[in-house]
Order: sequence, then structure tokens, then C-alpha cells
Amino acid sequence: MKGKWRQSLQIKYLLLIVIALLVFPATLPFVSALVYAPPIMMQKINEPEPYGSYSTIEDTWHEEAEALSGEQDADIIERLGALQEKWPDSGVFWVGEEGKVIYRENVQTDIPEQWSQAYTVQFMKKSYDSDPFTVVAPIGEDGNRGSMVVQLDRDLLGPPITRLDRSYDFLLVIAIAILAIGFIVLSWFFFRKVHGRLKQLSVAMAERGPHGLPAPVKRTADDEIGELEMSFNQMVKELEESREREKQEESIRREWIASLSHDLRTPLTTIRASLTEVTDEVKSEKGTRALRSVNDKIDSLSHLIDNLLSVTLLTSHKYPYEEKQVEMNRLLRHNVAHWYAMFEQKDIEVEVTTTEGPVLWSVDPKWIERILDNLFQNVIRHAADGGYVGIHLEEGKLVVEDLGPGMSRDSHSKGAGVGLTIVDLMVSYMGLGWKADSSPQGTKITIENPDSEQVIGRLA
Amino acid sequence: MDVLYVEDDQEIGTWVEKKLKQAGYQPHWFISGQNLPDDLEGFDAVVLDVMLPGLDGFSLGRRIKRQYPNLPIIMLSARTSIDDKLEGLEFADDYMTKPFHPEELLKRIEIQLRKYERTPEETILLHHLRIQKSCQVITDERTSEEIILTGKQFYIFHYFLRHLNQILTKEQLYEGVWDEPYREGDKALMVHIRHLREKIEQDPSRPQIIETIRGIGYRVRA
Repeated sequence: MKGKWRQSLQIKYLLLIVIALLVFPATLPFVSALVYAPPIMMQKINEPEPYGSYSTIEDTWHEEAEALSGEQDADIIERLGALQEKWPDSGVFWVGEEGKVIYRENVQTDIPEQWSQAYTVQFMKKSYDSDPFTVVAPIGEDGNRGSMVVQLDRDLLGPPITRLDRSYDFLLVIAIAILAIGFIVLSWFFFRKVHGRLKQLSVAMAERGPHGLPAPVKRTADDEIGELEMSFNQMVKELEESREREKQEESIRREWIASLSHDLRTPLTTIRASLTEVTDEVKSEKGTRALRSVNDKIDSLSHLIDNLLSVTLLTSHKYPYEEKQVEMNRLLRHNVAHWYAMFEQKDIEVEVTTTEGPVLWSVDPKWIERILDNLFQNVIRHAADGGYVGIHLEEGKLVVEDLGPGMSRDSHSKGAGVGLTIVDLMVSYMGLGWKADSSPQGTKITIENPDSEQVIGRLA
Repeated sequence: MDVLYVEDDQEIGTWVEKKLKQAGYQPHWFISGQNLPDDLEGFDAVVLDVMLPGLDGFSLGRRIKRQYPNLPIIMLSARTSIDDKLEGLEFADDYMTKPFHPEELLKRIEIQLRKYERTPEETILLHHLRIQKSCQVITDERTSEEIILTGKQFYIFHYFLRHLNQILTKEQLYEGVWDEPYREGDKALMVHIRHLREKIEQDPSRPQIIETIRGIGYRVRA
């Protein structure tokens, strides 16, 4: 993770918080500088400060008062008028020795014409450090000729910013608002991006590829979500590997079963080969009968092997299954056609009834064939005495019946058992039902399909 | 009739070779698929085991079928799983499992030879009919008159001859002759067979040549 801290979402988030905390305190001076500096600069260039600072006004006023102390009243008035003209925004007045206002020009504040001692003190107190800026300078020695007063709006004397138009304040508010909105948009984008990526990832996780597993995702960045994507990919890979392993094991198992079957069957074939060799030598009826019995046993042993291996595959769900829409009349006829010669050979009468229209079942045709094979096998081996097999298809029902001695007889039920186990496993796996009614007068096996559909009116 | 037979088991090989000879075939038995003759044109049928040293029976069969599509191949194997059967039947014409009855093998070879029209008999006798395969002429033995069939009737009858002794379902027949999927309930086939019977059967109401197998289909037995 070293060196990746810059990519980290955590760091980004913390950064966002810090920005949020600092956005006003840190940016306010900067923004106000940005808003106010240009107009101030402009103003400075255009109109140099007419009044100077508080101290220059105060100093000038006292100097003037000192200079005027020996002058005639008229000269003082003239001088005061000149000073007022020099500072056009100022208010100037002269309160004489007896408290009478001798001269006033442009005075904005309320002042009486006659000043009492008390009012003078109050005025001095009131005007100290207040707006307008007021300088009171005594004229003559010890102020024996009264005081001259100048009043100036503090805005005119303060820093240049105070003299700016109010509209600049509005500008500042707008600038701050823009800043705040910018920050909100920035954080919104940040979370939207995170949200979008998480959503994409969840979609990718939910999607299933051709093997039923989600496809690996592309790493979008070097951050925590990127890591999540990587671990997701790792998980998918492991899943794939385990699927692959499972498949391999399955194929090994199947191969093993197939070889086992092969290795059991080959010697059986050899036995039969040897058996036919001696068949010609054996002349006695007893011998022939024994040979025929051995021959039959070879067949039943072979079927037993087949059935046992099928049961193994079926119970471990490894028997290949491929469901399709199957037209049962067709399948049934095709299968019975294969068995017909065998039934004939055993003198078993075959009665087949099918339906007029097509009957569609959703099954694996190979499985149905296998089921029928097992049922017919049982009829031939255990019910040949009955001399009859009935195969009937109705809409949701397939019936195989015989007139044999029934399944209760011990000697026969064993061989038939494995075959019926397969029938049972296959039938229930395909979602069908079945039942067997067996009596000494015959056996009737019924396979039922609740979802069978008979298509009527298809042939116009 | 030359039959190419590949089998690695000595005992089974000797036995089958002997049975084939007894049935009038000329068997050519090979232990593996590696030293087969280059030219298989002269053979009429192939019987293959699956588990063979070197090249397995499936690969061998597929190769033969590709080169000689008209040469029937019967797989004869102790591998009985549905997977193996399906793989085999992708190219082979038949799949037989061991242990088998030699009579059944001979029957299946015969069926294949007939299907591929490689049977030696030039004329077939069916009850009162004499059928000359070469010029496809059918004559009534009793009157020595030629029976003229219409196109569809001829195809149907010919299809029966190619599948002699086999039960053919309605679907098989229909699809073999019309070359299009059979629809359940279609009566066209029944009508054609009735007309065909009127021409070839002695008593069309009790047919002897074209047997009806109730509920399943039809059969013509030699």
C-alpha cells in the first residue's frame, strides 16, 4: 500500500472534510482581496486621497488654529472658509469665547447657536472617537478666542476600502456563494463517482456469464474500490478453478465407471465366445439347457453391470440429462419397434395404443428410452409366460402392462429391482410420477406426467 | 462380402472371425487401427472395437467415415455408457455392446448392408413377387407380369426393401420417403400404402407382404 496513499479514497475523503472546514476561514481573505483589491487600486490611481489620515487632519487643524491665534475675526473666518473649501466634505465651525457660534459651514450635526459650558464638555465627550471624526482646536492662547471644529465622515479618512461602493460587498457575497457551491459540487462529484463505481461493480457481480459465474471486472483505479474489484476477480477465478476441478473429477469418475464396465464386459464376451465353441460339442438336452442358462446369465449379468453403473451415476447426479420437448407417440413407436422382434421371439403379443394428436413431454428422450428398455427387459425376463405386453400412451400417462406372474416372486424381483430403481430415479428426476400394480395375474407400471400437453387442432 | 474387423482381444477376435466366415463373409481381422490397408474401397462393412491400442475406435471410425461415407460402420464395444454410445453414433451406423450374441451382430451387419444397398442378391423373392434390384423391376411370379408402381409407391416399397425385416414406424417411413418431418395424424402415408397393397398384395384386405404392426408401423419380411 506504500506510495498509494494519494490514491486512497480515505485520504480523498479526509481532504474533502479539511476543505469543508477551511473553505470559509481560509478563503475569505483571499476572496475579499480578489474582490476589493482591483477597485481600490483603480481608485488610488484615479483620485489620490484628499484628506490623508486622521493624524494629518488633526495636526493640520491644530497648526492652523495656532497660526490663526493672533488674527482678526474676519481673517479667521476667511481662513476657515478656505479650509472648508479645501476639504469639501468636511463640516467646519467656530465657537467663540462666549460660546456663540461665530462661523459655520456645511455642518451636518445638530449644534446649538449658543454653547454652554456643560454642552461644550458633553460635545467633547460625545465626539471623541465617534463618527463623524471631530477635531477641536483652541484658537489663541489658552483658547481665549474659542475653538474651531472640523468634522469629517470617518469613511473619508479610513482605509481606502471604506470608501468603496456598497455593490462590492454584494460581489463578495456572490464570490463566497460561488465558492460554497463549488465545494458542494466537488464533494457531490466525489461521492457520485464512488457511488457509480460501486453500482457498476454490483451489476457486474449480479451478471452471470456462460458458465453461471460472473465475468471478471476491469480494475477502475488504484484505490479501495479497485482493491475490492481485484478481490472480486480473485474470487471469480477461484470459483472458476473449483468448477474446473469439479468437472475434471466428474470426468475422471465417469471415465473410471466406463472402464470398469468395459473391464467387466470383456471377460463376459470371452465367456460367451468360449461357450459357443462348446455349443457344437454338447449334444445332450441337459447340456444344451445348461448352456442356454449360462448364456442367459451372461445377458442378465451384463444388464446388471449396466444398471449398477447407471445407478451410481444417477445417484451422484452425473448421468447426462438434456431436456427437450418430446413427442411421445413417436418416441414410443420408435422404441417399441426396436423391441418388437425380441417380443416376437419370446411369443409375446404386443399391443400398442397411441393417441391421435401429438403428446408433448418435457423430458430427455434418452432417459425415456432407458426407462422403457428397463421395463421391457423386465417383461421379457420375468413376464414372458404371460405372452402379452400392453404399451399404452394417453395424454399424461404411459402404461406398460404384462400378464406375467407379478413382481412378488423372490427369484425375479431381485434382478428387476435394480432396473426399477433406475426407473424410479429417472422418473422422479424428470418430475414425473410412477406407480406399479403387481399381482399374480400381471404387472402394470404407470408413468404419469402432470405437465403433459396434448396438442389438438395442430393439423388443419 | 468383405468385412473389415478391428479387435484387440485375441479370443473375441478369433471367435467373431470364425462366425463371420460361417455366415459367408470374408473377414479381415486387424489387431489395431495402425496397419490397416490404405484403400478400403473393397470392403462392404466395418466392425470396430473402441478400446484399441494406439488409435481408438472412435477416431478410427470417424476417419473411415470421412473417407468412405458409403461404408457402413458398426461399433462393437464393451463401453456401454450413454456418452460413449452417443459419441459413437455420431458417425457410426450402429453401436453394439459386449457381451453380444453373434447372431445379432450378423443380423445388424445384414441390416447395414441392405441399407447401403450392398447386398449381393440381385433378385429378391417376396411371396409371389420377384424383385430385380439392378433394374428395379417387380414382377408377379404367377402371371409373369410387371407391376408398375407410381413414384411415391415405388419409393415406399424401395424403402421397405432397404430395411427388410425391420419394423418401420410411420415417422421413419414418412421421413425416409418424403424427406420432411412427419406430423402426427397425417393420413397420406396410410393412403399410399393402401394403394401400394392393392397393386402388390394377393388379397389387399389381408396383406402378407407389407405387414401392419399395430400401433407402431409396418414391416416387410423376407
